[in-house]
Amino acid sequence: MPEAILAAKNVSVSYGSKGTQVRALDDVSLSFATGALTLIMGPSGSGKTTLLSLLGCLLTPDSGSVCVDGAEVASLDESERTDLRRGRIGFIFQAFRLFHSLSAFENVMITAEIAGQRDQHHSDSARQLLEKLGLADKLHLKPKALSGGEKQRVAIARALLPNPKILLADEPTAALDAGAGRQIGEILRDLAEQQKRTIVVVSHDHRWASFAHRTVVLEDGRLLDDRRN
Amino acid sequence: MRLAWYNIAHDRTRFLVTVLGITCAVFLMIFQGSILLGFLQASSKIIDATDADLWITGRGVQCFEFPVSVERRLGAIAHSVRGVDHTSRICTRLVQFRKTDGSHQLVALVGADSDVGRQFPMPHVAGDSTAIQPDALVVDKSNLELLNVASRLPLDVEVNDQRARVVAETSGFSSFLGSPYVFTSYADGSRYINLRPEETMFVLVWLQPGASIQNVKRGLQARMSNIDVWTREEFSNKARFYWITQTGAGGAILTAALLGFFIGLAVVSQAIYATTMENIEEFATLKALGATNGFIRRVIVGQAVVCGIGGYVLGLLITSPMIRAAQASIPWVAAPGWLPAAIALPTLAMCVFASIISVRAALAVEPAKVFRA
Repeated sequence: MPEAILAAKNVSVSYGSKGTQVRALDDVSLSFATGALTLIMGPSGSGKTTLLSLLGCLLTPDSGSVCVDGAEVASLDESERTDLRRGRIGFIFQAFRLFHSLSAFENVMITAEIAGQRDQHHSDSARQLLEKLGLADKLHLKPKALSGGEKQRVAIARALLPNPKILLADEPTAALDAGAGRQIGEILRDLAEQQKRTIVVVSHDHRWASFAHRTVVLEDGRLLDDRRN
Repeated sequence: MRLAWYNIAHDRTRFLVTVLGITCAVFLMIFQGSILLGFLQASSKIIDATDADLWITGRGVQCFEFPVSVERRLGAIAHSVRGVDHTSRICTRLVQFRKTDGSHQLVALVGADSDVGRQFPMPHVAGDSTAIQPDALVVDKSNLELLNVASRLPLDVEVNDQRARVVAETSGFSSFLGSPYVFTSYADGSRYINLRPEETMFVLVWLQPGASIQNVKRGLQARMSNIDVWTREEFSNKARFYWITQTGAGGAILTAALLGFFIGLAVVSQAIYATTMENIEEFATLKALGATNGFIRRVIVGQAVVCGIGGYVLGLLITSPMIRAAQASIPWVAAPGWLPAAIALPTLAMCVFASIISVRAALAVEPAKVFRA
């Protein structure tokens, strides 16, 4: 059994105030192994995105704990959580979240700039990543000049530049056509298998099951199913 | 701070509007600052042009232009105070100046003893700095046309129905009162303004080498009643303070200079806030990607500072010719080289202040927002 680099233990999260409180996650425990792509599925409101926010240190649970690469997230202050996110976790979003004023290359370099590492090494790495993802001729184009699939590949390159051990992807193909979606699925699976990264993908799309090593199903904030593919 | 630059360069119209707003603010601050500075300098110019260590004035006199008469014997009394080397007198009053075409102009006549100061305008005999021409007047060159004496000098005129002659021009003594300064000797000045022989208006005191100015000041105050004794610097500052705070003109100039700052602040705040809110999800993304609060602050303040630099440079380009044009009609407007540099600091402060609300908004955004499509 590979070592778990990412784990949530008995986590519960509620939103809203008394009377109108909604339990988004209810006592969920999951761990994620290195080198595997895990698909988290479930209907809307099942708690998928809340779980992803917890795993990404963007949210703290009401109860339970989250452990990222050996660090107990609850014991970290805001600044330490920010450092953890920056160094260990890459994010891929449904809406791409690219910076509209920056070129594809600059969008990738933003993670290096955030880390204060805007140097030749990172510049070369950013260029190589974009080239590997088939964007060699799109380096200087702004997001509005890119297709949906190209935008998501830029977002993947951005997530990979800091060389994180963990990649969290929220509906990464929801805004893409079938062909582009398949391409993104293959890229992420290769990243897990060849580069031994831990990848967690949240999606409604059953086609992701063919790329995932494991599928977790949530419903009403509870773990409904957890199976290896 | 590439992101800061790219963000503002991306929306060029907004950038241009922001820069123009700051340009207006910079223009107002420098232009009104020049007027304010010139006004301050002009309001104490006569006092500053003397070399005296101390000024004795009537009790409650606030400035040079509005004196009251004091006893002439104060000069002799002052002489007897330990530490006093010598004294001189100055008198001033608004009088009628009859031009060569017969029309009249109210002028501020200033009569002074010949030794009040090397920079002080005085109708010296040509080639002899110790001899004073009788019935002679000196006028500022900015007032030559107003006094109708621009064509040739010397020129016979009348002051308070008494014969006088404009013999020379000076510069840097343009009046802010609307009534030009006209300089003459103390003897002629006191005669033109009908000052009684036992009266004078200001007694100027020079100290012996090594004498303590504060000791002499206290000694003079102890020996005389109904007078005030000021060091030259004190009287100069008092006059400036009076004209700035007690008159509508000074207050208006000061207010306009401050307005420039606040207009700029409002323009930059509005523009930077709009840009920040438009890109608020990008700040959420930055936070999710691991950007520190410091990084986000730098992006927003960087945007404001870039706008500030653009507005400042454009403001300087516009202001210089405008000030030169203003000086043609208002000679006392000051344009020291350090003023534009000094305005850079409030411009920078304006941009940083303007960013505060935007920084707060960006730091408050929930990074988990990034997962919502």
